Amino acid sequence: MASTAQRLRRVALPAAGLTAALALTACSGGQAAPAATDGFDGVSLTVWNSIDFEPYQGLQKQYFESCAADLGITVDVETQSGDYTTKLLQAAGAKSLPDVALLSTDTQLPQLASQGVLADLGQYQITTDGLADSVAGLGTYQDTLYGLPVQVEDYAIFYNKAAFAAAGVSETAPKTFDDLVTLAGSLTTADQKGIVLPGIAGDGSTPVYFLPFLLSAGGDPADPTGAGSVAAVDLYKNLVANGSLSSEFVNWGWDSIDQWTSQKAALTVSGPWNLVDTSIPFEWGTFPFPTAKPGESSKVNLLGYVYGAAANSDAKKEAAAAALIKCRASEENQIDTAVQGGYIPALKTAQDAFVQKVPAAAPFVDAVDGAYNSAQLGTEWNTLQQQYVDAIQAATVGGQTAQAALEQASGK
Amino acid sequence: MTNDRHPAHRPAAVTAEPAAAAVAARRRRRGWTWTVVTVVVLAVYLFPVYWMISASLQPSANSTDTAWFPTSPGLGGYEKALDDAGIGGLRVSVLVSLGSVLVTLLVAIPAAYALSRLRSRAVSIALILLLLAQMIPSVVLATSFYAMFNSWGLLNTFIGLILANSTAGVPFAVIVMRAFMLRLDAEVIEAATVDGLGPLGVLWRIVVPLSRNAIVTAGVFAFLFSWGDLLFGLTLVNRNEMYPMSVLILALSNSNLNTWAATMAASLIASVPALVVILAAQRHVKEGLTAGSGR
Amino acid sequence: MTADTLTTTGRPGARTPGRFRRSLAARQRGELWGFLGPAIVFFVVFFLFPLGYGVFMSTTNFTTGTFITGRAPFVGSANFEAVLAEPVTFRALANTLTITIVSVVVELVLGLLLALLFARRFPGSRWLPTLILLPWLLPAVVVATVWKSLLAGDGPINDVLGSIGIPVEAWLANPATALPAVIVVAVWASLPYWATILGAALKQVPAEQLEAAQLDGAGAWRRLVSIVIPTIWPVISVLVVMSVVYTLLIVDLVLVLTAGGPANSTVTLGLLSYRQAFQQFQFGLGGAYGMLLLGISILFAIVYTVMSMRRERDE
Repeated sequence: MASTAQRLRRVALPAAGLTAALALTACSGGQAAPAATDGFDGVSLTVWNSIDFEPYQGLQKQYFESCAADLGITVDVETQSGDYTTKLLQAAGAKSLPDVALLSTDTQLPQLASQGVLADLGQYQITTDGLADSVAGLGTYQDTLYGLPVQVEDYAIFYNKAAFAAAGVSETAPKTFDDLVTLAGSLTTADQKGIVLPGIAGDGSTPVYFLPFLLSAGGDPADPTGAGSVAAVDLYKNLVANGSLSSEFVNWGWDSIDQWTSQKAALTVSGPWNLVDTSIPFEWGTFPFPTAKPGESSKVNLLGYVYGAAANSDAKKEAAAAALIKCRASEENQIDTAVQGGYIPALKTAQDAFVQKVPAAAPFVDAVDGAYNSAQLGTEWNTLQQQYVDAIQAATVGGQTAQAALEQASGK
Repeated sequence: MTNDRHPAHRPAAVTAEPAAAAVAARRRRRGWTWTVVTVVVLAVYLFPVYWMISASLQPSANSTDTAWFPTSPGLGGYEKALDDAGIGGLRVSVLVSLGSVLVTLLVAIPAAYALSRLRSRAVSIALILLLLAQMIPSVVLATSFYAMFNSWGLLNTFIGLILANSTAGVPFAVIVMRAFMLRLDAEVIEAATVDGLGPLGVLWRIVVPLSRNAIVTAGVFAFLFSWGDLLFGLTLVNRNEMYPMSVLILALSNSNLNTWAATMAASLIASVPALVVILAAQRHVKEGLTAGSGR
Repeated sequence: MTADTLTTTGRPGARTPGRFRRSLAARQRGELWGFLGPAIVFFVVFFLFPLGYGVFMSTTNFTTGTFITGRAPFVGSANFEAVLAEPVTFRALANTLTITIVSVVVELVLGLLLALLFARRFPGSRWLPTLILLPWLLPAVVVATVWKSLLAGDGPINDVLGSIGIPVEAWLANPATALPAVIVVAVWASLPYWATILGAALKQVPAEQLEAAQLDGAGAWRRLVSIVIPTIWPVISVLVVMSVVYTLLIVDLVLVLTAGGPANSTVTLGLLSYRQAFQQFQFGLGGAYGMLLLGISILFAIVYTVMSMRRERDE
């Protein structure tokens, strides 16, 4: 399954973040002068990917090699395993960055861009047309486009159709938090809880799935005691109080999805990788997130994967790299990756085509417009994450009110 | 007790035998009672181990619906564990643990010997320092090692992990072996010295063979400390192929995919070498520990 | 203050002239100090330096950049003040002490009971007790993962408890029961070690003394308290010291079992140190927690030494 190893590595190894943060080197590369060149004969480029499992790995090779053939250049596509961020930063310091590299927008893009080692893609007629503003923003740093987004990741609510049928509830999405609490309550039976969400500290899952609720309540993640945060924590509190969310959720992290797939819970939150998971033994659907008050629109957090080009003194090489990226980011490639790998495409047209093939992807796609770029919190997010988890736990199993829990957790 | 008839030996023996036999039978029954008690205690105590084995053989179950008994056992969990992580992680753990044993013994044997022979206030100070060394919190050690190894290029290396893990074994090894060596017969050592053996020769030819139990004990503990380490593996490594088994088990258990059987399988696989080591060395360990702790 | 001497016996016939003897002794002493060489280097590099580094970390504004630039502005006791101002620190302190004291006491009592059981002679008593070491061999991450699933609300332990009528709940999800659950797991993993060591030590108790006492009419309890325990006391005290230090330092077991939750009810100083350093990248605070923990260990060592010195003086 596509994201196996990615989830494996991303979720469980907190210290990987440390080495990433620590590998910052002082060197910075120079910016090459722009040059309009066509005809890239004889150019040979290296490409780095970090997602090292099938089918993604094979697909990337395919895309790049076919694009290279179109452009008349040769490419060497390498897949890096392990701490990719550290590798990139070390390569940047040694001035040996690959010509093209896959970058995640929450960590790798800002770090490399801030060191000036990436090429300005805007000079090469690469535009963010066809991308929603929120997606376009993912690839920019200080208003310059350094990475062209090819896929994004956001979240939606998944539900078990059989549970709805058994409870005689129609499959309509809950519009408000109160609706969600009622819905989850009506789906709760002796053997099945209404909803499962992660609540454990330290593995990163709890804040990721909590953010959409906070954002949909109009909250600002940087403001833990604001009204939106309180409403979101209160939601969790109410879900536990009416018995639809097991109090054991405080022990569950990414593995909380096990509760849903083994039909011990009817609803859960997950990412797009769940769309292509063929091992789910029942019929399921997706909903968008509810909002705190009726009539508002929900909002989710978004992170993206972009391809960036290394700043190169050889103008021809840099231009070739940009052209390669542009080709790689084509619509067909994005649809292909989405359907096979469970990533949401960046291009709006590709998204629509994806929804046609996988209708359950609709809430994911609809939420992309106006989504929140979680990278903008920077390193503050580490502290905030723990505060939110503490508050959620204190309000649910610790008996505190949401407001008090948030105030205590954030030290205000 | 005999009756007052003229006792011929045989009649007396005949009457004595059933009595003795009865006593023996009672003792045997009482013995078996204790066996039953022990078996019950062990069964209850080791239930989690049974659970681990049973779960590892249920490849289709996830963490929520593991049955008490694997009704349709399968090795899918083991396949996944070895595929995803296992062989590499096992190799790293084995090499690092064996390396730690080597480093620990190389450092600790001469030191223990010296501390057992010297009569100086420095020895008391050394013992206090050893105790202090064991009290340094692992997070402090891990961060310092990170900084050191980062500058020396020892991150993601076997040497780095070996040296870091040896810190758990060395103080304990010195203390245990010293306690044992205190009891070595000074005459034998004296004789060897007079016979012309240099200091290393005395150590290698006389002291080490005599201290076999304590050395095996120290080695086994060094192996177990290193084998069970999680923190150094998490902080001093950031490349997939260099993660030891314990870190990979953590990753498997936290993953949001159906990896419960694989987690249990990996846990079992991770427990086997430790088990092998202790079974092979248990006689030495028991004797070494008694000698070492009865100071 | 005695001069350095070696333990030598006066072997008959090996009388050496005074001067030669002294320099032989001196040479041997030098050799022994040489044997200490690798250990001294190891100690300085891998213990002394990290200790100093830890003090440095806890008294400076240590960020991730410091690893590269080496610069960390000195902030004195600011980290300690910040740490002590957090209510969660006191929770951690209380938890750390509770876990340590309760664990060690339970391990001592149950360990002794198990050792007494295994000391009896019965069919299988030669090899059955070895099996108890199994839990002790498991890496902490394995122990925690297995117990997490055992203690789940619908897990096997609750199945059993429920069937004999004991009210059950999700032990690790309730702030009131999470800490006792952590203690149970910690004891489960360490008890085998106690049982084995105490079992070996029991063999040292002279059987004749016990028999004599039995003939004199002393009951089992009396025999235990007056003969067995005093005989194995040195072993017990070593075990206690080792166990206290080990339990104080536990990080990975709690990390994997509860990550400090629920609602920070199982945080320990070690866990907070890890959390600050490797999850929040606040190394100054992480170092401060580390130093606090070290301070407690040292305090314990001092108290213990004073008590045992006083005991020796009394005897």
